[in-house]
Amino acid sequence: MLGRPSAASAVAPVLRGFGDAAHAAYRADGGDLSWCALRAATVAGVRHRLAGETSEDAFAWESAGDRVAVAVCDGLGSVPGSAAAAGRAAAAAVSAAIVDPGAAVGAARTGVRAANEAAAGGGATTVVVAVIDRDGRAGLARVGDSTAFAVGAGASRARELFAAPAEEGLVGTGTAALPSDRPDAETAEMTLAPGSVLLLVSDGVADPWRDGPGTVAPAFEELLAAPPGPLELARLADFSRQGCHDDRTLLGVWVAHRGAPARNDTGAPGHPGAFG
Amino acid sequence: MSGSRIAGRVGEVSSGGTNGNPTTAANQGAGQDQGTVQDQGTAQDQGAGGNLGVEERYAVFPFYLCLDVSASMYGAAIDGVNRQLPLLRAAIGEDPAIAEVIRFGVVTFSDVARTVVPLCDLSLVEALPELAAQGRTSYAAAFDHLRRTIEDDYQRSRTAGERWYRPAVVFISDGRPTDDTERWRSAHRTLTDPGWKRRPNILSFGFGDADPAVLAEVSGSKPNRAFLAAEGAEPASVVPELMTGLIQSIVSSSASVYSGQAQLVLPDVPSMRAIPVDQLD
Repeated sequence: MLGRPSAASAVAPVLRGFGDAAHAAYRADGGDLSWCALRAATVAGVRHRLAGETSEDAFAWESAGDRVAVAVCDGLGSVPGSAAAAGRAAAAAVSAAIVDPGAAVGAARTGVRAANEAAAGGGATTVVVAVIDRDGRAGLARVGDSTAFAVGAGASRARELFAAPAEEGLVGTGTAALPSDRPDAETAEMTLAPGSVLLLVSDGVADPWRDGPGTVAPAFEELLAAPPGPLELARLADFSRQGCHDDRTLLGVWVAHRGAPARNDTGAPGHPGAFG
Repeated sequence: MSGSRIAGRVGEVSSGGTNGNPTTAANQGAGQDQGTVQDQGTAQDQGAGGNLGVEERYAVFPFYLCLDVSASMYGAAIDGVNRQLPLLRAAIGEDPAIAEVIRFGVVTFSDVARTVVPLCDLSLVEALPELAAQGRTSYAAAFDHLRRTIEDDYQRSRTAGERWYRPAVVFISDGRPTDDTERWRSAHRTLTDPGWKRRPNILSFGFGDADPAVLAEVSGSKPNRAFLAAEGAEPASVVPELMTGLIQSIVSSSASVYSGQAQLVLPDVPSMRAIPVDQLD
């Protein structure tokens, strides 16, 4: 629990009439390259789980040589077909971005354009794409309220890389989304130092992160100081907090962390299956 | 590992905003409508650089039921409200995720306006008050009271660490305002003042002697925001259906905060028709 308790989070969902691995409410994955570690997890929001529904978020990555492209998409629940649109958009984004030989931020823009084309055909989705090079340079592009944080080595405070929503005294109620006739993306660039992580998240993570500076934020910053095991990342994403029941997705890329003892799901360094 | 090849600092950031992305709802975030932003700093020395807050906060969706309890509501109409209102509490109780985000209050009006259920987490309320009908139909009293109540509730809620979606008011009346026209219009202008950030979205519903042109005006002359029962419809049948539709609307609206697009979901009330806004004048 991170903040006020949530009664909804404690309710056990009724078994869905059908389930398979592709639609699991909890999904996690990851692995290491010689120069970075990648971990991703997505969990269906409490309300989706209690309704027997699956997550409408999606993540994807693709690596080639000294570059990795990553994406997180958040399908809009108010538009039918958005879960599929998010999946298509994420996959298309990384596939297009990774073959763009230009600078990272330009490749990230390419990813957004590809995501926009892939999102057509039903549904609506946000997208945030990042392209990270071996030297730590990263370029990002997004449409909508999925966003990115950077956390330095040593559990330092996180920094959001895009502008947070302006509230004007009230919570915002809408987001830009794909497909769009004018998919102009916001962009950001940064250089990741060794041991730091670039984290792409859906708003189901970003909102409570911003709203929980004494609870959610420190918990994430501590756990993300080093690459956790995928299941540990999923467990973190599944935190309980009053009124926070949107789908939650995190995808992190830690630069130059290979060789450091990785966390794993038992807490014991070097456990079989751990990354690092 | 090739850490020796990696250069630079953590958190060297430059962000370039763009505009032109279509938004799917109002109140768009800053990231989409700003121009170019240059933002330099490090994660270590600036901490929460991207506007991360300093206080724990929880988003809630405030709903106000603003109910006419003038003398003409006596009998089947007010009895129907009293029977149906507890069903809202039951509906919310069935979905704990919704109960955590919705805040609900009831304001009644006749000669004067009163808060009979202060804005609250309805799942924590043990019993709702029995409403009684008497007096005239002062829309001005209702709007004045709503303006004060919403602002007071917002300030209290904010102190408690809550941030609001735009509040919603469901306005129900069976009659025409008994105030001087300019008096209630003035109160309504204050309630809906574009310069007041807490101005609510208003859905209005009428039956009996309610004036469709007035109801449309109450809802800001926006399409599908004002509804009227068929002429001659009996309160005994209209009120239960209306309350059932409102319960569905409130629950669905609250659920929408988890869909990526919080919105005021219109109630499905088959016996009522939307008032065309061109009836206003």
